[in-house]
Amino acid sequence: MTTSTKNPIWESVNRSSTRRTFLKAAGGTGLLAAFGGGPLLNFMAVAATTDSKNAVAGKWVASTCQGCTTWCPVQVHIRDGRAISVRGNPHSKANHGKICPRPHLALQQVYDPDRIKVPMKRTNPKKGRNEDPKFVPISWDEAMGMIADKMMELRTNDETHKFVLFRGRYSYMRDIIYSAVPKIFGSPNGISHSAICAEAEKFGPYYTEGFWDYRDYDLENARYVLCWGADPLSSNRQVPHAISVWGKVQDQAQIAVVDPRLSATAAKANEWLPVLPGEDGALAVAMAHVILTEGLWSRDFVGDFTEGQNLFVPGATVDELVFEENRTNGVVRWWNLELKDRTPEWAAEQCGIPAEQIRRVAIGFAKAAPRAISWLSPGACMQARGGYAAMATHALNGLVGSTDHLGGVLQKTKVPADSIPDYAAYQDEMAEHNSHQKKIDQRGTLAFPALKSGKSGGGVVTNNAADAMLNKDPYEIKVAIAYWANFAFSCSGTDRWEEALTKLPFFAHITTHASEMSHFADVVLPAAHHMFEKWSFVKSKQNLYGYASLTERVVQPMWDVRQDETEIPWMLAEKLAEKGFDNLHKYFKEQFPDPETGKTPTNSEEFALAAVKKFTRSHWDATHGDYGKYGDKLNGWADYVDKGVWNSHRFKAGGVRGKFKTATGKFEFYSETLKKALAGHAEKHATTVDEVLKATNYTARGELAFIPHFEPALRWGDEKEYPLIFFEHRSRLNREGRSANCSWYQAHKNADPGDENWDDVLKMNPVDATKLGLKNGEVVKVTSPIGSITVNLKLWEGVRPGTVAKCYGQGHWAYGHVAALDYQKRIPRGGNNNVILPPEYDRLSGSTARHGGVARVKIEKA
Amino acid sequence: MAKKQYSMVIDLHACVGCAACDIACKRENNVPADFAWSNHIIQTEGTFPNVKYRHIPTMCNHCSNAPCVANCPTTAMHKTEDGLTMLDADKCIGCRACQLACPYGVIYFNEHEPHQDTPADKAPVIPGCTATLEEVRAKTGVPLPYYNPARAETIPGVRPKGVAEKCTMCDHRLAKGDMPACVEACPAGARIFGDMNDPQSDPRKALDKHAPSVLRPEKGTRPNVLYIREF
Amino acid sequence: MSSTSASSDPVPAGQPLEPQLDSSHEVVRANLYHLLAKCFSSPLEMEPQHPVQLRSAVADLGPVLQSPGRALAKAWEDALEDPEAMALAYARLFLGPFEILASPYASFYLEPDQRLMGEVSQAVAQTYAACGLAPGPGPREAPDHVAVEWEFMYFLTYQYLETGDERWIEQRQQFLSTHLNLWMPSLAKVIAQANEHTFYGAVAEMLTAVLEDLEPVAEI
Repeated sequence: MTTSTKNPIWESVNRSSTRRTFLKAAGGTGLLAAFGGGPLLNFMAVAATTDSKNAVAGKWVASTCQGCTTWCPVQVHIRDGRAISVRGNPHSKANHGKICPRPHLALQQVYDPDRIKVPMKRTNPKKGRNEDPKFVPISWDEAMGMIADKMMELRTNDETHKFVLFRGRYSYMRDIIYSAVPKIFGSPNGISHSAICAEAEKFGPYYTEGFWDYRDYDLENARYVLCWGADPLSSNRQVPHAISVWGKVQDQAQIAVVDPRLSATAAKANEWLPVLPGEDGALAVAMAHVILTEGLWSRDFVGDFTEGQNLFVPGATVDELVFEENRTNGVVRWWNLELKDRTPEWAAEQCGIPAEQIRRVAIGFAKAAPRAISWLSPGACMQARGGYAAMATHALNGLVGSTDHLGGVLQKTKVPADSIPDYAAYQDEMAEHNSHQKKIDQRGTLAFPALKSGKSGGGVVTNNAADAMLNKDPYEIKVAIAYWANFAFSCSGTDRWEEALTKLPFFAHITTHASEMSHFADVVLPAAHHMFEKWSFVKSKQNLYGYASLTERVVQPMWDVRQDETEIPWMLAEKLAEKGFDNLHKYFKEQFPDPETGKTPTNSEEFALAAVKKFTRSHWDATHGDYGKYGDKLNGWADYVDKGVWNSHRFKAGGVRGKFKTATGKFEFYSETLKKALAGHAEKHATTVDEVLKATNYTARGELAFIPHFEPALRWGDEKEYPLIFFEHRSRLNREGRSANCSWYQAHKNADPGDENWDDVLKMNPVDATKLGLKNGEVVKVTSPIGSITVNLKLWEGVRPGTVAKCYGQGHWAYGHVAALDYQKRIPRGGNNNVILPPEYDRLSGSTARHGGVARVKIEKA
Repeated sequence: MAKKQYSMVIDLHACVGCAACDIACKRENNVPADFAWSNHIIQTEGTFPNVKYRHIPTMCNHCSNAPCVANCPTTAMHKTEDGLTMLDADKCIGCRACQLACPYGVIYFNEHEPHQDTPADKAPVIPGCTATLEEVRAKTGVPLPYYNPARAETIPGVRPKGVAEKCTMCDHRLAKGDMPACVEACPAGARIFGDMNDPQSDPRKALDKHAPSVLRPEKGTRPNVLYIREF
Repeated sequence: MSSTSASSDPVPAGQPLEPQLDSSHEVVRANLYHLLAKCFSSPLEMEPQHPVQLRSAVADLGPVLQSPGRALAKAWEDALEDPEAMALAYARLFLGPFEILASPYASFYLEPDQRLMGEVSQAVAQTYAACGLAPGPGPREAPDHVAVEWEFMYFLTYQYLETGDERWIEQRQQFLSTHLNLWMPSLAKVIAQANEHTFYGAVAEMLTAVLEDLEPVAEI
């Protein structure tokens, strides 16, 4: 094809109508033309000139990858208005310009022909997996009108609380759609995905050191790294930083990885501890036992026996009075209540790790301390009863004094950002009243304490919302909007979500791709891709730097998409105002003037941009009180857009010790903080803590409830019928569950140890295959007590006998022509683990137990 | 001796096997989904729980004694004065002698039209679609109208049917002073690229510290992709 | 939207379209391309005047175009009676959201892994830019969407008629032979195979006929 710029013919464009008479001479014009002359164009327009020089050179523009929750600052190379490659943002101190494989894959997402391109509505009123929704294109106006009509019906009937907003992945623009929309409208129901993510992980550090968050890790100074299910070379947290320093970490430190599968990180470690899924807690308390009996705890952090002699002798109770504790609370009580009998030999039976290895790793870890990291991840605690495993594994950092220490486990620096403007004044009486109704996920009920930050019902119980909706308990949900979420795929027990969505009277889905959840929608709305088409910011940390990173609209979207967290709420507010409820629109107009110009936004795009500027003003606006106080001083909004990232000062270890935000101000082995939270929950339900533990399915009673202790793994299925334990893991190429439609994902899937390209294999140890008479490559049916999937079998030594493993992320029956093998027949490529994983919980944190081998399975030739 | 000897030293100790190199290479060079100029060997050795897993990145070794060059009947496959092994697509007659001669399996051959044989295509959403492209091409005799402008600066942006293809060490990027795409994309800094004839170059310095190994030394190919340390 | 009506000044009767550069035939071609772009646009963009315009545009053509043209005009009028059925067929064929039976993008037929915004989209966009076009205020679409490409064909023909500069026709023929002909026959085939709606069946036949109509010219 001709490239253009060299061809002089095109100069004639601007020489317009030199031979206009030609036409007339030929007999006049029947030519379809625009009113007033010129060609009748719809998709295109006659342009003045094109700057071809600039276009060819291209430029790097900042944005953020949200393919995992590291949220790396990146730069996208733009040439001729097209995104063609991605690299790390060199202005970022956190990932220092490095990125993992994920951002490259995002290029295949944004230009995926399978994206939703325009708003669509369902024309088949029947819902269900086997119903054809018969979606047809509609205008944005009609789409928003449909949603607003349904919402206005709720207002007419004074049942605004029957509206729910489901949130999956998000940016920090979230509060607009997640808080302001439901609260001003009159619903308590902003339901986030957090409890299928990692809430149980936060439970550990919160009930030991008062920190409900992920931690940072001083890898460059560490001398021992003990990973609990953590696979930082592959999946969150802080993947690019971990990859970039791992060579150095291997040189300087011992690395031990606890994981039932030989993970990417286990493959680059000194020790692999292939624990039985769900038994991490047993291993952790045994390591604590060893550290105490060997006298390797931190004298500085924990304290010491007044007489100096180590009285932590296996099996022997210790008098609390003979130990003088320093910065911790209850080490002796922990010993007496739990640890004294938790010998490595006991743990070996329980968790499948040889006693000598437990001892070796515990001693190595403690001797390296305080430059030692006990790195807790969802794998070790997003398990039934996993909150206590989270406490136990994190407590090791307290025992050896590595928390808040050079080379250890750290909290975070402050990343300032302005919060959403107060909306109380925009809530009318109905909104005020109904937004205080109970939330749909049953948080805070006796069986679902969800003790986020110490509060009964403080956290979400995402996966339970499906059952609550089906049972109409506490009430029926009539209108739902979900964005950046696909709970019918990503929540275990997918069949319940399909049923709940089938019965949901009205559902609008905001998404980039038509997914399983969209299949049940009345309206699907095309969302802007976060990394290329959306204005927002996120906060994160790695490498001891906190940061705020902008996602920018780096290319003009080629379809009729809108920004999920800002533009769509604005358009909804406009539509609600049109129909007689204008509080939301007034709030957006009055409270979101553009900080640079002071101008009131007049449309959704202006609103989106004004909101990002507003929230991030402390990063770039010298008149803001927090400007430069915690880190970078960016020179105005344009400078921020150019650099794309605001870096905090580097975190300095040692500032948190002695002022932990716990009930005692100490690092709590005996958690007064948890005691208070559990007592509060029991009191709310007029019962005892023991009754709470019974209702929530923990085995502990009495004082054990307040300390990190061993809880046996809970599994669905009888061992005789379901002989193998199934567990899942993450992929280094997963952009959460959204990569499966990218051919590059499929073509490189074997970068995950044990996996195969263009496949979604079940990994089984050859020993088990021999027993079952199965061969490598065979098609097998994997059946748990709740469902079955059909996948290819891979025999691999990297998985422990008695267990089988499969990666999460594939098995989509809807998500595009690569992800789904046959949408018509609803046949996925691979199998979705959540079809066979039961909806089980760590109820104290509200978390879904997606790990820990919660399902037993049987495996047959298909 | 060549004026320059471009070489890649891969530090297996630093490499974590993340495959960012492989994906970046695909993007940069318009490599079909099932070809992998940048690839890896995977080894799982031992029995549970004593298992050793290795991920060894591979690519064209740009051998000094290149069997693909020696066996090419037309001089299409040749050595450049920068020490690279390059394929001149115009001279390639599609005999596949290079592919057979290469002991490393890093040369790919466009048996079919490029980009039309991914597993996704084997079960096409649109029946009849994959075949029709061939029909249309046969009918029109016109080459595809698209080339990656950057890639096409030195070789065809997409290699046609009947022609071999392989890693060029991103010669089009080297010409502009940029590193090969896999080097830029490596988050571990495991790929050390430069002129081995320059004693001050990064790869030479890396070899001063660590003894290198190469793949299949018994073949006598004298690879210019060298490995240091262990995965 | 407004436009001059083709019916007000039809092509002289009884004059078949010959493969030569004749302005009145080019007017018909321009109008056909414009309407073909409409056929591939969202039904939300369609108006009752479109089939009327088509009917008058093909009124005096030779049988190769006239027969499918009339059939299409009829199918179009019928389809507009039941817009939801047409919208559903349009979604199934070109939009999804779950599955697309006849991808409307050249990239799908010509690109690695059917990826959009690769070199195919880019080459097409560059051609547009070189002809003095930029993305317009209307619906956002990829440059290699079938409707956009027919709009471009209309534009080239329009420019020729405006300026009399035959290089516009050369460009049109080049776009046809190096691009349109590489994939649109496949598109016509899959639309026909999908058998979703009488209207789109007629569009597929018209598409084939229009491409064939241009072929002899390509060999000049």
